Amino acid sequence: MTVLQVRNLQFGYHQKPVLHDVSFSLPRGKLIGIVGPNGSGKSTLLKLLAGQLPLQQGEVDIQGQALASFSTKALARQLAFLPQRPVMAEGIRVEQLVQYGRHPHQGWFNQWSAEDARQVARARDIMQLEPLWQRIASSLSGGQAQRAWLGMILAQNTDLILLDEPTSALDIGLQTEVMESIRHITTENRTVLIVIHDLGMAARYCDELIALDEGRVAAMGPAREVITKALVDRLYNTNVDILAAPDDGAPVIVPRRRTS
Amino acid sequence: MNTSIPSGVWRLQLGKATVLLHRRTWLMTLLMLVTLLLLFVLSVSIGSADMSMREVIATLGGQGSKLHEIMVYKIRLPRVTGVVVAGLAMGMAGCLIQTLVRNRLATPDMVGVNEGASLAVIVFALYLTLGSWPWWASPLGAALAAVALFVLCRRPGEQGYLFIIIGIAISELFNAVGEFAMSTQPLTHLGSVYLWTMGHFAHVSYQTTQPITLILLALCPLMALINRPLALLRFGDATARNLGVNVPLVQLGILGLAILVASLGTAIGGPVIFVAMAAPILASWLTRDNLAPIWLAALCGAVMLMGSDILVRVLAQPNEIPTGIMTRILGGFLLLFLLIKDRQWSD
Repeated sequence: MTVLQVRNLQFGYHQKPVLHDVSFSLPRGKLIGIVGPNGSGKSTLLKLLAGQLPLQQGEVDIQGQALASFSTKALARQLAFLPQRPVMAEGIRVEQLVQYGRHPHQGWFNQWSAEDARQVARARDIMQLEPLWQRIASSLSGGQAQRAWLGMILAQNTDLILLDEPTSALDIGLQTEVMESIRHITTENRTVLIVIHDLGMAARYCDELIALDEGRVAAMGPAREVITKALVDRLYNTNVDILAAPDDGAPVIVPRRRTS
Repeated sequence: MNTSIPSGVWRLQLGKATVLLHRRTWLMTLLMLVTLLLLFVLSVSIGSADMSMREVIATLGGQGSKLHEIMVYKIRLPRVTGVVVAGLAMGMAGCLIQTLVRNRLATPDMVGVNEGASLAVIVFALYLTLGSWPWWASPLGAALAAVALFVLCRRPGEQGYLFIIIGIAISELFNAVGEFAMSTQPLTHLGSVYLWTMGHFAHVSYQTTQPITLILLALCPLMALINRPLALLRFGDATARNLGVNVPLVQLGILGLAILVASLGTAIGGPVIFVAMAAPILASWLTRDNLAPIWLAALCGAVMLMGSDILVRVLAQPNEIPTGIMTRILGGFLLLFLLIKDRQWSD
């Protein structure tokens, strides 16, 4: 069964169309990247799938059930969403942040269960948060903060995880670190869908890519097949060379200069 | 490392139900309760005729003299209980609106809700002389101010400063209309209303405090229900929704509660500045955590208003000065401090 199925999705803000007829489905246990130029509708697509924006036309099924049929809390047990620039509440510790990930599974009279403890410990270990556990979350550096957020998302223990540009604000060392962590999540048979700008990172870490162009799916498939000179030139209005990385042959995109 | 229980909490287990109590939060709640009780007794003992705190306790326990009973029950208790209830309400309302707008400067006294409430009370008190104090008019005026605010500024969570500046403008407007309404009346007719607009508790009666207390008590279950989603709203709409909070519904609930509670708090002793802003700040400072619960902010509000009221009575003896003047002075310093601190942060 597919985790997520999207059929003929259309969306616009105030008459201005953003997405046209987007359809795809996501297999279980894969890391899938959404790529495309600025304004191509990547973030809008992710927000729609996360239930953060109301659907206008088309269908989205989560685990075979219509997105609209879930209550906010029930949806939060199916999928976890991390926005591009999440707001960190002041004064809270990393431990508390990760524990908040359990909120969708809790109620007023069920504020802490053995399962909560297990999932929080799991998230902490996968994201290697022990050394930061009692730190104030708003004082962490960019990479550490991103790991803490991913800890919260993991504690939510959902089959589907949606991340909006989880690596954009990080240097290449931290990008690698965060992408390795994300890669690790999929080994637990969870599906991760990320919006990502860096095509090289996308090609190296993602199993499959969805390339968006002005709200339409321009290409879809295994990452190394999607990243072609023709597509990149067209999507980004550039002239690039694509080289093979020395170690594993992953595509490396090098834009040419435009001047004469 | 042991995570079987989150650090710093007590876990209560009753059958299948599990409830977590944050240790520091509850210790501070207890501390503020004790402080409030002490201030309460102290406040009753202060006045033109001296009474010791021991005599106050004896009188409250039914062991006092006739004279003391009259002094306590007829003269001092109405004022002191009015101060407590108004302080609780202001602390609650401040906590709710600050969280909704995600800005410490966004409180009902800054954004015009209190001014709306007091305008309604002034108009009813002056033009429709009803005999009793029209406390029940306050939510109408507050709702009017809030509607104006939200029509002019649609997304309070994302435009904190705009929200506050529009709020200050609305607040000034309501204030001016209220002053205009008062200026049309002869001075003799005006005395108690004018003092009330400066935040004065000397003439508070049980007829006002009692129904307001009952309404606030009835709202307590709703407050308890909203406390958890309120904590999550501090992470912004997107994360709150991701964690299962029905954001529009909760925001509407918070807004409705905040307006009602703020206006009822105003109705007792008039619009008092500073308590609604400072109480949640004190609460989060006490818990070393910005996620301080509503009830702690409420207790802090009561302690602060009571403290200001005692201070103003001791300093001004034997004259009567409105409590609101003391809170205005303290609030002015707090506001300056916060603005300067924020400026240093952004530098």
